[in-house]
Amino acid sequence: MSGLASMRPVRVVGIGMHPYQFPSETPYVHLGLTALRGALADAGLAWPDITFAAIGTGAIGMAAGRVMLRHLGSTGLEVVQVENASASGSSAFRTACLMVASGQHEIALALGVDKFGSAQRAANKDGVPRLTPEAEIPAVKFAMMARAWRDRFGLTREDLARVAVKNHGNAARNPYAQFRKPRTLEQVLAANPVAGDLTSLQCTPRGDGAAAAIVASEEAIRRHGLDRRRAVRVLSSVSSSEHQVADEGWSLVEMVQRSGLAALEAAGLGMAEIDIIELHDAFTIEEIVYAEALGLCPLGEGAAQLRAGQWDIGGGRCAVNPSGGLLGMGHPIGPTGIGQVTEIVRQLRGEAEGRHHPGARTALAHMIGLGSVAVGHVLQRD
Amino acid sequence: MDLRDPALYAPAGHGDAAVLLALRDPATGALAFPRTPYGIGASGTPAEAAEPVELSGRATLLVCVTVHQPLSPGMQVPLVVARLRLEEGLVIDGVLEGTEEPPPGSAMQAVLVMQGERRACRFRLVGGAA
Repeated sequence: MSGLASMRPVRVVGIGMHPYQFPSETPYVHLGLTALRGALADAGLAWPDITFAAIGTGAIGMAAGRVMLRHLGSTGLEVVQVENASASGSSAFRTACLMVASGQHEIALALGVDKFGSAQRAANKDGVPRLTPEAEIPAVKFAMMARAWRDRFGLTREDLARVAVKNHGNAARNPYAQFRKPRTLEQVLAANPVAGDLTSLQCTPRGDGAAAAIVASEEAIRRHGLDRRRAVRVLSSVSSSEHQVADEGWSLVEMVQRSGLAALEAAGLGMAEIDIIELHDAFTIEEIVYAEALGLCPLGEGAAQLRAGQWDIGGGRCAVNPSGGLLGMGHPIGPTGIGQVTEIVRQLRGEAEGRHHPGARTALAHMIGLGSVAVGHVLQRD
Repeated sequence: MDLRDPALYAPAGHGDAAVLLALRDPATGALAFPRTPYGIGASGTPAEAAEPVELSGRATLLVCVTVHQPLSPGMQVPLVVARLRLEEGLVIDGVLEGTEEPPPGSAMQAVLVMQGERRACRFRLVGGAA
């Protein structure tokens, strides 16, 4: 897996968002076009400058891109739709990056958009009977992971709840986030119990939203006179799925570890050089387990790092989920991975007002999706 | 009395114990539970080349949690869901009988219990907690 190192440089030149929100009557076209127009304005580009669009969505349906994009004018651009569960947006971003890096296109769009409610799971159609379908419900699966970490490393209910406190606090400062209220440890612990030690405030909300990122080649940046100082380089892009693991090992965790390492190696960097991580924290336990798996701290020490404020904005070397993560910013599926990228670009440009992680230069966006799949990107400002 | 999922388990022939219906690769010994028409994922063996086998239903509890909210239609809570290592080596998920949470390492047995009109597979603590 060579990432982007052996290909043309790719930079994010424009970002845009429609804030994530609770399930609504807002048509997806409005959500998507709001994000797209924001990204065009941010980049200083016109719609006809875009020659490729990857649309990440899990629930909208066939041809979501064309139905939406025609309202900006039918320019003949190449459009593909990318569905990769929770990693749909991340995979759309990767596709756009590869299109530019490979020389197929000079300027490409990755746009994630989704509405809650109509996604279907292929696993329900595979013809395989299941002894325990309850265990495949994400809240149950991750409650078991939390309990396994409690049994193995002494993780407490308070440790889990601290992830939600941090990320709801970050989201409260993020104008694009679905949850805008800071929460106390007591509030998180006293919320409705869901499964095991997880309470409702430790589970990602359901919602709608859109996120857009425009990537361009160096040649396109020169030709269009774009502001290179605000253009953030995409150093690596990797994607993979689970390996079989022995015995009671957690294959998901092994996948996160492997894919995170691959993303860093492809970027020629180590975790010590990462200032920000945006990762999949649909449930609080995930942030602790994945941060450990990605190498941010030794196995079993995530809770102590969190308690010490090491993952806070401005609290330690590396801020984890400064956007608020999936817990606070939200997880509308299609946009989520691109929303991570927009947050990272804002942070690296120094434009994340009210939540800027000081000195941030390099960041990792890491997403997983049902199945399971993993997608990782390393971004860096000059 | 009918079984809720006869493709997955069967009476063991003693008491209310159950066996689990699996596939085995005769060449490698790799197992797959449940049986599927697609074969054995661990070895890539097609189903036609695999042999049907019965697993004992004896297991060791690895971890379990109580589900507090009905997270899917018809789910009755509280419900204890567990990850278990079967005596034959496979790691599977199962629902425990009752609402207690035995500690990791506890010995469990698959049993058939009435769920509405039919018998379903649950895992029961045997011989006391670990």
